Amino acid sequence: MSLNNDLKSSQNCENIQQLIPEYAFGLTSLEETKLVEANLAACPQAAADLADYRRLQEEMREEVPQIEPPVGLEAKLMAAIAVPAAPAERINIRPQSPAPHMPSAAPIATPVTPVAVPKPRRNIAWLAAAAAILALVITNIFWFTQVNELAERQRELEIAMHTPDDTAFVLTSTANLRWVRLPPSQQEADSNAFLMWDAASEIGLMYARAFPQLEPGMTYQLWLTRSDVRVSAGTFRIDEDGNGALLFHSAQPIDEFTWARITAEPEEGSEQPSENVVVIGEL
Amino acid sequence: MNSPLDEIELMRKIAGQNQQAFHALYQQYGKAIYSLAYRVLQNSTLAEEVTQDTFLKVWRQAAHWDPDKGKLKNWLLTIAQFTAIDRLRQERRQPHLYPDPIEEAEETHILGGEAHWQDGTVLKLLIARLPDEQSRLIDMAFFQGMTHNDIANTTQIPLGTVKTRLRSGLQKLRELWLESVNRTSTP
Repeated sequence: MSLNNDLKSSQNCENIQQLIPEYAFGLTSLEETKLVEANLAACPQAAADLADYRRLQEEMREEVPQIEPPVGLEAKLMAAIAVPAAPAERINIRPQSPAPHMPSAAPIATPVTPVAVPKPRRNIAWLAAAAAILALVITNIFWFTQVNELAERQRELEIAMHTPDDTAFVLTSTANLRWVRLPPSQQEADSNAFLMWDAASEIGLMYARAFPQLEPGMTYQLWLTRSDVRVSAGTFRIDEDGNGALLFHSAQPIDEFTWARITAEPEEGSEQPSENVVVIGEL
Repeated sequence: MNSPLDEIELMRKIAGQNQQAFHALYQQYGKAIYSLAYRVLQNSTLAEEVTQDTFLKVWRQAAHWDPDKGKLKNWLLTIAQFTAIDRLRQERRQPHLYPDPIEEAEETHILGGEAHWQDGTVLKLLIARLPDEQSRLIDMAFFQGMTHNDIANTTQIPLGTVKTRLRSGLQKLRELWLESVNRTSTP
């Protein structure tokens, strides 16, 4: 009797093992999927095969050719999460039953309705206009929630430049949105900055994050580089968390500049940047 | 952010709706997720949308990640892949609403040519040892989320033959991969 049971069990495991490749790749029927899942624990070799296939799949996902995401994607995402979300599903979370065609690798089986984000799909004028307005609203919400001192900085800048009517950061359309991240110049540093501007204007917005605190009498200064000429875009201070912002105006379209950097300088600002570069990046 | 403890802390912060942590997550994994989405969809606009959807799912459900069940990157890429495949299926259901010659050309290229997933260093060597048709079938199953029936309909190969070739291809791929892993790990 026991021999019979062992034989049955052995044959059953052979059958399960045969199904593992297709099970791993989500190709088994619902019935086959149930069969595998019901017997996997009792078939160590099948379980080991499945583990191999899972690792192989991980490599297949990781080894796709790497492509840089679109420049504006980061800004859209940050803007999307800065918008107070519609009541999100706060689920007490454990991996749920996978879809039959995608076995246990599926970590989230329940579809989630994403936060509304402007999604450029088709070249329809009204959609573009609506997206532009939405992008303007949400990006401004994001920045203003991130930077408490922004309004004060803007007033300071307006006074300094004597052009109060021009110093508004306005997106004329999403197509004009430019966005770059300036990474830290030192590999081990956390500092970074984001530069956003409208290609159709000379107004830009910079947000600095996790900058080191400076000695008294020092400040940070933003520089834009064009044909080896470095132009100051203004100075700014940071708060106790190392965050700061600068709304700036350029005499030339910002699109014409090729690099941006932020340096530590004496409080009154410098004519040329020092070597003390905190972040630097290509525009 | 490479150690598991860092990842746990990062995801704990994201579950608490910390925007800086979310930004750090994007910095770390945005490129890998976008690349995988692009690999599945072969279209930059759709890949961007899927990348957004993936990150927003993570933003809302960061606490779903269970570090005991695997690395954060694997979890993120799995979400991205399934999101992309879902999107691909949606697009297939309404392929003629917005005809896009470039997309169609790309799709024809995928279906008609050799598989594209062998671009990675290790897998590139392995796939070269599989018959072209088998690698193509694996590509359709894994990166396009096709069922046996879908593949049979698309390739006009009989269903039974698709099943046999796919199973045999997957088994062979696993064997080659294991050989490669063992060779790499041998001192």
